[in-house]
This record gives sequence, C-alpha cells and structure tokens, in this order.
Amino acid sequence: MVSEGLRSVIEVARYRGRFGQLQWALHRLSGLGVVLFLSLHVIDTATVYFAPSAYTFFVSLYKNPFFGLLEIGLAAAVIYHAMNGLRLVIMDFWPALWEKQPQARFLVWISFAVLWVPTAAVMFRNIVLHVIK
Amino acid sequence: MELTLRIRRFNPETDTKPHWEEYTIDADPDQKLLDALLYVKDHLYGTLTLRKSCAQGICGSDAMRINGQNGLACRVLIKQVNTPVISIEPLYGLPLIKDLVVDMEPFWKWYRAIMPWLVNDEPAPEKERLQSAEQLARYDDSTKCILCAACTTSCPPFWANGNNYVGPASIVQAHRFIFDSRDRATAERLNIMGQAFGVWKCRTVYNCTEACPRGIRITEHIGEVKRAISLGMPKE
Amino acid sequence: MAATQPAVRPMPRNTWGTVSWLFMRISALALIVLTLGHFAIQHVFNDVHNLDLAFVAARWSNLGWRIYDALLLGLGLAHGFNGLRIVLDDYVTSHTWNRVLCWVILIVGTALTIIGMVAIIGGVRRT
Repeated sequence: MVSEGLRSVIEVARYRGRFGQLQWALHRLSGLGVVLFLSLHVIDTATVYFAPSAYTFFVSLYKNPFFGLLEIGLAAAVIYHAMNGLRLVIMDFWPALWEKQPQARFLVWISFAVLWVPTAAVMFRNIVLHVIK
Repeated sequence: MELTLRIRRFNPETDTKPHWEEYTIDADPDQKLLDALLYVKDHLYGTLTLRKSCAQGICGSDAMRINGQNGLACRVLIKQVNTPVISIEPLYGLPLIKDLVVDMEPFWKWYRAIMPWLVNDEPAPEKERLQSAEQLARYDDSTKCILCAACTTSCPPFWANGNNYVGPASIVQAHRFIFDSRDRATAERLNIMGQAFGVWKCRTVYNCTEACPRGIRITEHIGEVKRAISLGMPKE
Repeated sequence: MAATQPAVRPMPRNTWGTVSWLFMRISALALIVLTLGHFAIQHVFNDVHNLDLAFVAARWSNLGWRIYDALLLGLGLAHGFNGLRIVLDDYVTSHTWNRVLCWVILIVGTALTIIGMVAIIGGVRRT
C-alpha cells in the first residue's frame, strides 16, 4: 500500500539530483513542519477564548529558551518555504523563466539569508536577554 | 586508464534480488561509457545484459543510471564522468527484467494514453500544411524527444506513484501536439492532461530537465501545459 | 489522414486539479505577506516574551487585526491542509486509504478553522 511510496523516499536519497531535487525536498519538509506547528498553534491560541488560564500556561511554556530555539528553526522553515514558494509561483505563471533556474535558486537562498539572519539574531538576542534576567 | 565499473546485476533465473558486481578494465577516457560496458560483455562476462542500438544518442535504447544520475550510456564519455569507479544501475521506476534492462511497457502505456498522433480531419491541402517559423518555435523543443525514459524514471512522483501518473515524457509528447498549430484536438488533449494522472501530479522537482540527454526544457513545457489548462491557451 | 481513432475514451473534465493548483499559488502570494508580517510583529517588533492575554486583547480591540488574523488562519490552514492532501496523493496509493485519509485531512482542517474563527470572533475571555 504505502511501500512503493516509502521506497521512493529512499530513492530520493540515492538519486543524485542536483539542486532541483534538494529544493523540492526542503520545500516539502518545511511545509510539513509548518502545517504541524500551525495545527498546534491554532489550538493553543484559541484558548484565549475557550480556556484563558490554559493560554497563560502555554505562553509560560514558550518562554522556555528551548522553545525559543525551536522558534528560530520554525522561522527558517517558514521563510525558506515562502521564498522557494515564491520562485515556484513566478515560474509557474511565466514558464519561460524555468531557463533561468540557476539564477532563481541563487536568489532564493539570498532572500532567505536576508530575511532569516536578522530575524534569528533578534530572536536569539531576546532569548539571551530573557535568560539573563 | 584503469576503470572499475560497479554494475547492479540481476538474473531472474537465479537471483532473488539485485546485487553489485565490479569489473576492472583498461579504458580509454575519450571512449563512451557504452564502449566500456560492451567491452565487459564481449570479453569478460557475456551474460551482462543491456539494450543498445544506434550507439549515438538517437534511438534512446541505453538509458541508465550512471553515478546516481540518469543518462544515455552512448552519450556519456568516460572522461566526463571522471571517477575511478563508475556505478551503473538500471532505470528506477519501471519493472526490472534483467541486469540493466527494464520493462518499458508501463512507459509505452502512458505514451499511448496521450494520443501521440496529429489530429486534423480538414481536407488535405495541395502540398504541405503551412506553418510559420514562429508557430514551429512554440513546439520545436518538444519534438526532440527520443522516448528514452530517462526523465520519467528520474521523477520522484513517478517513483512513488507510477501507476497514477503519465510522467514527464508523456507530457512532453502531449505538448508537442498541443502547441502544434496543425493539430485540431487541443481541447481533448488538455482534458487528458488535466486529469488526476496528468500534469497535476508534477511537483516541479526539475530532475527531468537535468536528466534529458536531448536538453529538452521539460519542466518549462509541463508548466506551459499547466498554464494552458488553468488559464487558457496563449494567443498565437 | 483518416478520421480520429477513438483509442482514448472521452473523460469528464477534472476541474479540481486546476482549482487546487490555482488556489495554492494565489493563497501562497497572500500568505507570504500575511505570515511574514505576523512573524515580524510577534517576534521582531515585539518580544514574544511579552506575550500575554492583555497583548492579544489589545491587538484584537482593533477590528483590522482580527480580520488580518482571520485571513491568516483561513488561508494558512487551507493552503497547509491542501498541501497535506497533495503529499498524501503522492505516497498513499491504495484507493481506500487515500479516500479515508483525505476525509480525515478535510475534517481536521475544517475543525481547526472553526475553532480558530470562534476564538477570533469571541475574543479574549477575561477570567
């Protein structure tokens, strides 16, 4: 039932696809990670209405530096998925641009760095400040 | 130069599963990989089984996975691969028959499903059906396909679900007719491409374009078909 | 050339494929703005350590922010869960399991959307 699908995942690791395959795999993994987080986040935020004391509990949990670091990882997943996704949307609506694939990949990584590095720096600084206090 | 070929072999009459075998030979770096394989077959192990025909990149018979990437053995030079050990496997995603030979029937089945013939029932003109250079340019690239299956067997969605996906090669062949100004079955072709087993299974991984030995811009053409289905055919 | 050979059965149109493909791309564009904005507000322009019921209540006193969050919620869950359905289509080939899990995805996605929308409309409940 699923075995053909599972075997194909192993083949993805074995096939030496160049950057196209890596970008697709990262897009899929980041998407799965973000949708999993989003499901939990909708529930924990909905407690402001359904059970406000639970919200206070969740928020205190997220102030833990371990969660802070996870959030920096989440930021990476969201930003990568967004930038790579933007490349896909542009190329899907202008297929002639697929010829410029090498430059587009480069731009994805550049825009990822431009957005994520300062974000991660600010978030990390906040964690450190909070821990020191 | 000394070259070791690491070949994935399988004999359906004696083996339960495939295994690697190594053959070390003296090879000329300017030769094709196919020449090295045929040397092994002709002088060392006559049982090595592979497909080949024209040996110059036109018939598409000898597509295989070379150092983890799909390509034509007759188009790849040993000096291009440039590793002391070259690993060679059959294409993945089609049923394995023996050694480097796979069953191409599922590939042909999907090819037939896209109506790979020109449809035009209008009365035939005196000479040719004329076409401008611009009209030709729209589909010229997709006419280059030699049906070697390197693209379809490099496609992760096809690996995962080959029974429910036409694969890149069939879409390229469909593109060749959809964008041919002489064809009159555009609506029917786009309907086939728009089915669940058609273009919508493509995840724009791009392995196909990188594997194509003819340099066809496959992902771009699949994108053109997706656009034609969802946003309408472009004006001529 | 002779008349068209009917070698291929005529098939009904599959509009779902087109709709899903277009929706993912259009929602993606909206979500890039909404999500990156949300992230910037929560983590960069504010310190997430200052987050509490009062913070949320203050933001939601403005109707514009509630609409923003509702769009983010609806589009985000729809885009994400449709993505899950696409991954499902790739890896679960058994027709029965595919249908069952597809329904599970739809039900869970809808439930989360409803829960979230109720919370946004209801607002912060002061204990």
